[in-house]
Amino acid sequence: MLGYREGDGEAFAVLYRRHRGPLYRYLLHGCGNPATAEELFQDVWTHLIKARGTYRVEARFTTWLYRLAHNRLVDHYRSARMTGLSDDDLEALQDPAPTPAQRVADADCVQRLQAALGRLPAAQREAFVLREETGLSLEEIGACAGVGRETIKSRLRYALKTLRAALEDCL
Amino acid sequence: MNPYTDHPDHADADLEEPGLSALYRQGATQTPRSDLDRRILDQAQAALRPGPANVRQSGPRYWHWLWSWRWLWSKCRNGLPRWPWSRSGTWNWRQVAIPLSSAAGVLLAVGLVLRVIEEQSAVQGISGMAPRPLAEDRLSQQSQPPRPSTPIQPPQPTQLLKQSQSIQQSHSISPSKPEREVAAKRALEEASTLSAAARLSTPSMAPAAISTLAPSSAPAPASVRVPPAPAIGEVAQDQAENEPKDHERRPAIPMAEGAGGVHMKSQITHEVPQVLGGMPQVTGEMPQAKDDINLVIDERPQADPERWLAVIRQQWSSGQRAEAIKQLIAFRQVHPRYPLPEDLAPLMEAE
Repeated sequence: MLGYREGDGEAFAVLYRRHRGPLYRYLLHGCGNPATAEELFQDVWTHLIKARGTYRVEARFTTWLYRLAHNRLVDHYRSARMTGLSDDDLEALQDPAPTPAQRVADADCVQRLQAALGRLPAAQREAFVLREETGLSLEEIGACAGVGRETIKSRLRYALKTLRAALEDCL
Repeated sequence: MNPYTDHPDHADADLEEPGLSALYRQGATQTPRSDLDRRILDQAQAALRPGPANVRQSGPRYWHWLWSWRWLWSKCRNGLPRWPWSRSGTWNWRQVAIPLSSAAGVLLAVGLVLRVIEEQSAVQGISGMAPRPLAEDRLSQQSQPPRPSTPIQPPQPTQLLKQSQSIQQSHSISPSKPEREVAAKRALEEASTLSAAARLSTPSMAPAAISTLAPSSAPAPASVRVPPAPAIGEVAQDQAENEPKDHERRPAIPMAEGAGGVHMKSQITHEVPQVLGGMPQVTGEMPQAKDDINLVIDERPQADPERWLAVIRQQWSSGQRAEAIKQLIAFRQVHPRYPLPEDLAPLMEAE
């Protein structure tokens, strides 16, 4: 990021190639909609490009990037709430009940894991995805989510417990 | 242990689930579309190119005002903006800053120009009030020889007396009575006109100016009309006898009252001997100068020889013989060359 701030375009390409997939999946698991995920994904990178002049090396770049993404997701949740979706609708959107067709499709363990992730609460899902995609520490994940280390640890423990129960036969 | 950090976060056994991580990595294949990747990369490369938005983001905003002018130009090319609100309807002070600064600059420039014009007109007005060189001065300067470079000193009374006497001696032929009167009046008019002009132009330097107009060294040309004035020394003496108070007020400068029976007040009386002594005749007319000169026609009988003689006759006929003889003696002192009438011959003999 420092190289890109100094005008090195190739440095940005390296950053983008390194983080494009994990960031996209983080946003996709956060909103559940590929189109919305792409929109949020572009917004995050656009914000990063504009904010390159004010970038300070205060933490890892990954932490800063996912902090941007987390804030963008929060904004998306707020705007969705302002458009008329109630908290129950949001909860249903983030934790949809499995349909019979989905139950058939979840035969595969991978798809079952994806479905189980979709059913997780947003905070627990975010903690699990951040841990799997970025490999950040609990403190860094907490910094991205805006909470403390113990909170992240608790969310992660609940998420793993739910996933183990859903994929018990696959593990 | 976290493979990316040194934190022992994963030491907790319940947070480790290799099977779930493997399953997740198998299914983590979602990636953004390639066109989205190209779009973002192009946007990042475009941000590195110099431009108004890039300068604002990357460095200090020293040239922000310059880009604001570019913004205004782009808005003018694409149509006027919805000033002063942006498209979103929110107030944007930057859109107001440029018109306001332009208006302030125009007002400042207009005020400065008006101020300069006003001061220039004031200066021209003052210079327009300055006295112009008189036609008489120009004529006299053309007729006079080049002036000496030495500073001109105001003439002393003794010099003036000598001038008048020399001129009087050069005109040995004494004119007749009507001619003398006409010449005296004309000389008086010329003297008053020139004196007034000199006083209007340089009041403090009036004697010197008159002396430059009529230098003592310059010979009188043929056209100069010199009135047959009596000796100024005698006039001064008579004046001292008749008007002691007036003499006290003007002790050092001789008077020229007897030239035409006219007495001038103020400083013009100081200039008359010079004019009568060597001033060439000036033909230009300045009627307005007469208004400025405080001329007083002397009503005393001594001012007019004829009237004085008439008074003497009246005294003689009324029986005041001694007084008439005394007046006749004074008359002879004032007008030594004036021809006395024959009816006063007995008085002259008694004298």
